[in-house]
Amino acid sequence: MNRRVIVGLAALAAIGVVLAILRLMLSRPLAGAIEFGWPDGVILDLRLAAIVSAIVIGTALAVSGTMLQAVLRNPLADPYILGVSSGAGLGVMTAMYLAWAMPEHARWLTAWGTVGPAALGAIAAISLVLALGRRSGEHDPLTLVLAGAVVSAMCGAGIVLLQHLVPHGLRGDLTVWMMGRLPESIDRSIVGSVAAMAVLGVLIGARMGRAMDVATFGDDEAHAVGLHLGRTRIVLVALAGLLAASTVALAGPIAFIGLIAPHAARLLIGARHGPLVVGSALAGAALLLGADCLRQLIDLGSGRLPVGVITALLGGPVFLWLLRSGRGSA
Amino acid sequence: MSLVLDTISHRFGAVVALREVVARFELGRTTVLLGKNGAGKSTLLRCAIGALRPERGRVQVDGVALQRMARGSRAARIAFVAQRPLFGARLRVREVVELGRFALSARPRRVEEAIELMGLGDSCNRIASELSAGFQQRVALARAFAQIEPTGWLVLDEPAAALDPAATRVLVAALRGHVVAGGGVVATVHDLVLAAAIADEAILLREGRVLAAGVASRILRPEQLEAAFDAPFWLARLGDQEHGREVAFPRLQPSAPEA
Repeated sequence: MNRRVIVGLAALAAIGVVLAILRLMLSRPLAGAIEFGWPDGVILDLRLAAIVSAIVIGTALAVSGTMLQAVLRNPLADPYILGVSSGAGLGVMTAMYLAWAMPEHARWLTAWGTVGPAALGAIAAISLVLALGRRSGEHDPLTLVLAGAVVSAMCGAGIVLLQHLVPHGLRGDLTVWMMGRLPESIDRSIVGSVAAMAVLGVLIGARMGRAMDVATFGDDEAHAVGLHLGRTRIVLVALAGLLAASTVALAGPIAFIGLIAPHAARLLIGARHGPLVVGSALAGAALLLGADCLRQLIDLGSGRLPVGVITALLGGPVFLWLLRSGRGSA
Repeated sequence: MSLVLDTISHRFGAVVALREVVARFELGRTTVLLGKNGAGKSTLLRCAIGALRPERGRVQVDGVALQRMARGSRAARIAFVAQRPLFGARLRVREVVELGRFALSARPRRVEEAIELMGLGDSCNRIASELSAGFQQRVALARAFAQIEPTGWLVLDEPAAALDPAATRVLVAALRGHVVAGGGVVATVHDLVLAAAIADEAILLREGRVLAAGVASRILRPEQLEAAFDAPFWLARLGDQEHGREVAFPRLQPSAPEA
């Protein structure tokens, strides 16, 4: 590992630690002034839950984005943009609807909580996007993004449709969930599952770093260098889908972390995917912690904004910059 | 020691790309493939590197079926450079060349030699995808040289398409060096001067069939090329009487210029 990588990883880790401490100490009561102090009791538990969620979700989304960008040779790839998050959301909503509409027959769907339906929805969505995003037999970056937008819109419409089919009481705060919200009370089993997925994603991603490097060559060149491209693509796309799905099960779809984190890490530590996966994971955690800190500072007089709104507002311009600067082409 | 395409045929949907092609590429020889656009040259190369399994026929390396070779063994024996190499990530030149050793043991010295061979010493830390098309082709060639054993085949799709004359000279010397050291070269070429400079053998393809194959000096003649390309050719002498050679050129003007 060269000096640039070590310094970059250390810097990202340090930024993450600082933001985690900031999130722990920062608060702003509704209609009150910003406060800064060490919490205790229930408040400490709530903030720790939010911090753990942000780290786990940020890591999973960033690793998912890194894998998709490598394997699709598309710097614009991100689980949110490619419709994976919306697909996972539709999977969760469908399971909730079926569990309400026919509780006798759909019990198996929610047996594993929301993770299973989210994973099914995510895999279905990414499969559809990959099938639609081909032009002349190749995955064209912009065609993939357009296919992702279409699938995302359709899944979004499906979510709203199902929302209207269930009674008000069951809808709960689904509208907020759809914008992406960090949970402040932890369901340990779900957080544990997502954390396990995130750790697995980082380990497999770091291990397959050189394979991801080679996957960014043309198909024939990657084959000639000795990569089993088909198998690599299936493993990485499936893993990226499952990582994104697990975050949706925990917090709803959170936009653009999977897009921004790899690019931020790439600027600091270079493009080799082995170190990049680790760097992206740290950057993703730091970005989501930063967005959550920012969320605490914004008071519109109507409660806290979902963190997904902050990431979308920050990530949208980055996406457009990538598109305009030419870095969005493969 | 040979790379053999044994009666291979392949079609893409209704389009027949290769029809019962037989070819044998020997070590210590450079073979050029020529033919019109769509004649099947690139499909033949894809079959030769194992990226495309032909519908019929076999591809063998030293008597072993290519599809049965371990990835590492295959990578050590056959390297490939596309006409327009693709570097999707923002990898640096040295990182790209090092990936030639992806399925093989690391050999830092081979990597350095390949970088020097292609004249990329000053560009090692530049981002490969931001280089000009010619430099990108040189980076891909360096990766292939880092990958291949001395007794392996370099399979090249229009290797000099984006190179300037100076870089083409470097390429010709590098290919000659590889062949002299016991390796083999298989390349599609449109430039007949380059073909004449590097080829020991030549194969003319037309509509997926082998139209003519053999020693380059016998195949790269106007009458053979006219049958392959449906275009008129003439012979011109390059160089002086002692060291020069006759090379077939396409007649691009409607009529021959006056002497």
